[in-house]
Amino acid sequence: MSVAKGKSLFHRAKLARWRFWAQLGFLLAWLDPLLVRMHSVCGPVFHCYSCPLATFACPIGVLAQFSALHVLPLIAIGTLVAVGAVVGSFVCGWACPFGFLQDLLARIPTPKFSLPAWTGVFRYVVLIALVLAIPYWYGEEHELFFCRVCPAGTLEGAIPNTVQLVLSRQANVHPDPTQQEPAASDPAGQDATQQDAAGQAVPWPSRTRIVILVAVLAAALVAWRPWCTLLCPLGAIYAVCNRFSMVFMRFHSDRCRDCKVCRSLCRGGDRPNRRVDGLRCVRCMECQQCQAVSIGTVFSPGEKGPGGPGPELVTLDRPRFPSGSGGCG
Amino acid sequence: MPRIIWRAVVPLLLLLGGIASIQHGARHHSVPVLMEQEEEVTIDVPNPFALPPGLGQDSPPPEMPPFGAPPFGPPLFGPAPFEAPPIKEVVTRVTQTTEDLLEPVLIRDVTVGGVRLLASGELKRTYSGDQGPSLCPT
Repeated sequence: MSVAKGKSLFHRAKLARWRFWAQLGFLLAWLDPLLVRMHSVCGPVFHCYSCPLATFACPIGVLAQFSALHVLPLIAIGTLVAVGAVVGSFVCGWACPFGFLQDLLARIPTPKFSLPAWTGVFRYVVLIALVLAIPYWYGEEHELFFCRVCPAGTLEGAIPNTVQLVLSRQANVHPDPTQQEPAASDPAGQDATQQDAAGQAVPWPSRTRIVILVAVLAAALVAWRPWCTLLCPLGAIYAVCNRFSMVFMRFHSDRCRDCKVCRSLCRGGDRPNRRVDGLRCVRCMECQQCQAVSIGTVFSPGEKGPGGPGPELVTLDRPRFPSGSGGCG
Repeated sequence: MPRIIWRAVVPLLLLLGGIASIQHGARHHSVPVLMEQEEEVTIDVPNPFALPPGLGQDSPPPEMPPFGAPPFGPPLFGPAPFEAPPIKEVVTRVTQTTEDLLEPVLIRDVTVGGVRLLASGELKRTYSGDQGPSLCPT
């Protein structure tokens, strides 16, 4: 039995190590390697469609734009529901390019702070207010329209497009004769239009966007995935899907020795021994290094059938232990 | 039994619902969008140097025989005056039509800022042709 458990632990550690390569592989997939630019299709991750290298359309951007147009986005909703029903927030931990960037920044050895778990509710505020309500009532011209403040959009779309425009004007060759200048008046900033070397107006990213991007990137140095855990509306949707996704996390109470290793391994600040699919869980599977946590599916749920908790296997959907006990098993 | 439903049936139903939503959106969900088609046409503009009507361009009054016809002999004022041809001018004609766009096309359009909501509640495409107005809608 101990040999089996040791082997299982080895496989878990090996699986967790694959996360970096999975993120890298997905990043290449999102960066339009075949130059097909399938912007009629919603991708499942947070990757701005304004990026010169974007394979699919950002689902949050589509939700916001369609909300501004007063049209129900069936494709975006269907994509999010279908992907969320299968894997939940595995997308965040394993496929999201902006999460990957924050993971890379987190590797820089700086003091890290943990944010309280309840701060995850801010993501729902962002989803309801900035993605749905403000676009619906005020349109896309409002300065708090989500895409106007999105850090991923600034990093992947606004800055590369501006650099591309400046370089092309300096070379006096337009990169694409069909491409016109973006809107010069950006209501999100006062200094949206400046002059380049050739004296022509260049639409720079607004000050607000730059400040938000810098703040998120700086926060990623001192906290683990601050955008994902605090503000990401896509993560909020997938976090809801965690409750009923086909692939889910399991907590084996019989294997728990109350060592709190799972809690120390969780960089999101969740408590896997109390709720294994917490509000801010991105299913990075780091907590699986503890033998009490494993991954399950509705098709191969383990020893006791789909979701059928037996005496040896328990899936926690709600806190199993009273607050303050800090233990399990 | 309730937990089995929660863990197996609900995600399956949601998956099927999501796929059905994608299918319906991609094939059947269309939205009417106003489009402006620009077309260059050539029109005839009256020449400003042409004589006013009745002076050399129109036919003579009906009670008078034409110039040169007997019994009046040759015309008194010589040949007919110079008739300035109309000026050809190329103008852009804008025609407005309404088309039902499928949702994938609408998604592609919003990613380039190509669709706006008018105050009347109608959607209007902000460009004509195949290429969008910009790479970034914001």
